Amino acid sequence: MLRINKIEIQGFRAFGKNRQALTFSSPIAAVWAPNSQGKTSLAEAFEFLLTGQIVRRQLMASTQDEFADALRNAHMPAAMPVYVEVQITGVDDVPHKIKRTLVSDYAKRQDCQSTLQIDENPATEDDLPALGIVLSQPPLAAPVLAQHTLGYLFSARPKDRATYFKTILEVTDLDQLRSAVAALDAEIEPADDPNWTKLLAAAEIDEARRFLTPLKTAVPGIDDLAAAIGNAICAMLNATGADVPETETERLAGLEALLLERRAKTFPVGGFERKPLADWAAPPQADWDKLDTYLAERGKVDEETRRLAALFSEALSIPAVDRATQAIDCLLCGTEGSLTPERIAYIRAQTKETENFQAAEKAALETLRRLATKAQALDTAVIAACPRFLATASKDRRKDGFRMERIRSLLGAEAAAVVGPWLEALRKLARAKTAVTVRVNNLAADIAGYVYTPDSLDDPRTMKGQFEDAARTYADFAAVLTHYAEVEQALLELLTALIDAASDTAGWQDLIDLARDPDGLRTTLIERHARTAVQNELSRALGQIDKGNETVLEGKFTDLSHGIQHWWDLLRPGEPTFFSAVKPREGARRTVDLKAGLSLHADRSAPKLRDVIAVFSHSQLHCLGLALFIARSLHEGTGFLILDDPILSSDEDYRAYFKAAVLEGLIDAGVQVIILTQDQKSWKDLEHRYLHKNIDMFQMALLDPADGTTVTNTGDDLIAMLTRIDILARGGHPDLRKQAGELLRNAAERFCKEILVKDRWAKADTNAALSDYDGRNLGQLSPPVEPLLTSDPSHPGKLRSIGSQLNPAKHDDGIPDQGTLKVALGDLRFLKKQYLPA
Amino acid sequence: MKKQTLPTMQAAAPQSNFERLIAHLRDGSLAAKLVSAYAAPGELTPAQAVSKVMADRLDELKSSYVENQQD
Repeated sequence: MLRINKIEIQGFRAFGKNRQALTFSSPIAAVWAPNSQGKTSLAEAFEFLLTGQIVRRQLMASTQDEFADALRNAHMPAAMPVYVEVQITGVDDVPHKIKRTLVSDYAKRQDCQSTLQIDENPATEDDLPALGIVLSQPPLAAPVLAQHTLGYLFSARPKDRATYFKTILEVTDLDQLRSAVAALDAEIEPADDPNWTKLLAAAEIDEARRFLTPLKTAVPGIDDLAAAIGNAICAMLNATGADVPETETERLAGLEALLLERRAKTFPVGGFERKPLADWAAPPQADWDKLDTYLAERGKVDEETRRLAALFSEALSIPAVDRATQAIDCLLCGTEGSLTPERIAYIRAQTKETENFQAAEKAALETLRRLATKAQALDTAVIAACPRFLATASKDRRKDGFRMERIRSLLGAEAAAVVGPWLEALRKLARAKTAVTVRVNNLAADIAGYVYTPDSLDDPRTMKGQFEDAARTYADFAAVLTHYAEVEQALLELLTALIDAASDTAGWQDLIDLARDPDGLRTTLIERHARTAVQNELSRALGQIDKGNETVLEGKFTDLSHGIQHWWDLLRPGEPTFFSAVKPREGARRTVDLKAGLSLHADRSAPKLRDVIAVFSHSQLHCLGLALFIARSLHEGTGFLILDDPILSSDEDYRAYFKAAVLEGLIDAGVQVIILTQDQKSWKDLEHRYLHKNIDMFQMALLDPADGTTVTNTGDDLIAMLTRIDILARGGHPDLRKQAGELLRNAAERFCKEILVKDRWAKADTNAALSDYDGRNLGQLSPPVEPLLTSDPSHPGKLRSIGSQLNPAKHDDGIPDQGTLKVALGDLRFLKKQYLPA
Repeated sequence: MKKQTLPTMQAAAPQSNFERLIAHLRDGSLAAKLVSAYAAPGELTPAQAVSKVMADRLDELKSSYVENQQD
């Protein structure tokens, strides 16, 4: 169980340079201070320790500047630190020290700065719950109740009240859950899918509607899906009066042809058709090697021989020449007998010499023809990649209806945005195409020349260079084509839709596309419908969660209301106007109302409900504020409360209930209570009433502003102790006698300490203090004191007797009887009078 | 005055908000699964946990279309 054992304050507000400490040994403490003696400073010291702020400044938003330099005592020496420190026993039953030191005071429009330490280690407010210290929702975060905090919730706007209550009822986790679940809708939302878009468009076709519309809400089997599409196409063909072919494939082809025909009547959009640009690779190195080989072989054979080599080969291929064994007539000039076997042998020898050359020449010619084809392929590719209309002569385009005026007319107002960029891109495309064509034509012409006159080929590298130039020009064309394609697509999307609308073929292309890929459509439908179904399920789940959250919140409000009612009834029992409930307003969940009940009956039945602000008196509102504060604190598990004059001085009636029922209830609930009051009568009454709890009693006084407020533990005074013991000893209950016995031992210890200090002072030891003997019990203190009790030989014995008689009081089964208590008390009073006169 | 009592601060740990909420939801419902996943996400973040519940439900529905086709 959390307990504050001690608080020490230096330099904070009314507390000056002499640090003041309050030590708590009881679950209840009462501090009396007349007005302006530092009572509020003590309350605010607890606030500052726990939160680093004081609530008054936060609540008085309009006057925050006036709190400048409010925390540091005005007479504190500059070098001395300002701090508040507590020693506690945490919920872990381990002692801890918590200290907050002021770094800089409030300034105009500036918060104060401070450091927090737990057990001498830097810490933050987030580290306090581990010790059992629970802070609530700001601005009333610390468990300190003062006059200015009592009325906060009544003066707050209903919406602020809602946030405040929702937070103290700790339902923000439900709000976060709700947000996380609601956010799932965006994740599940079906994404845009081209197939879905096509289905929606196709389902708008009159003849297709009844077959395709069911697909928008259900997922059919693949066969049923294909049948739906097929039926749609069939119906469309029937509607046009066209013949309906036998097979699905033919029907689809028929629809496509019909579409093209209808579109063409509106506009020959086919003019935009083009093929993808073909890949093109440069000629392999082997081709250039062949040409190099040809040149090398050509160099080995003279020109005349080369020139005649072919002729000789031809001649030898004639069997009569090849088999001639005697002179025959020359086949060329007809000279009789001129072609002798010797000459034939010569021809044969010459031909053999040029074999390599001929092979190389043949290979070179084949290569050149191949290169020509390759070069031509560039031109073929760019022409195919350009829109068809570009290759069509102007007059033929116009005859087909492919006119710029028609395009602009169809596009209407949107023409300007798309036509201009398209024409610009088209011009660039045409120029790039021409550049390729020119290079190809030049290259082709050169190659043709080499083929015709191989001897004209001097250096294949030149041709290789031309091919490289052509390749670069081709690459440039590809880049221009890419840009053109983007611009053209924008134009075509718009134009096609308009053409379809104008030709009454809207949705036809979409249906044709879907018919080509029914599996793709089914996949789309599965995805879409599953997501839509899950979205609906999520929506229902969210509604259930909302309802559940509302029920949980209502339950928590009810619990809190019961708590407030409990404390209200302890404070103001039997009143016909009473606190009824705190709850969210019907129909406005962000608003929280505090309701009062007005009943004609003692049992409070059939109450009329009104807002507390409207019907409660100032006193009732004050008590409600107190009840609410206590209920909130218990709900949050606060281990201690500091109450600064919680009952109005004008409310004598309710002060009695507070001192009796409320405080007793808090103590029974395990809460440590520290009450500050300026009413001495109440303070004394608390001492009497809670003597059995060994209530800690303190008095505060601001005697010298230079020193600041001082705090005296009046319960610690020997006379006060003896007075208490007297009261307890008179009580017949064994618990009271046991307590009296314990207090009497403490009083005897106190007596011994005072005697020893007095003796040391008499011996000029001016540093002697009661605290020098802290932790020593009567058995240890009595022996050195006995020799000092010299007035009469019986006096040491009286002291020894107190110790021996009261030792049993420490044990459960040893409760001193009244006689023993009275004798021991009388002895101690006597010794006190003798040796420690006032 | 008759003494009234309230539970002390030493009372048993109260039901969490999520436990209270689940008590108002039908067993096995999507709402209950979402809250349970959010409250005890394991190695995932709460947002990831509820996302997984929906992703699993989505896969379940999509599979049912495929199974229907195969039947």
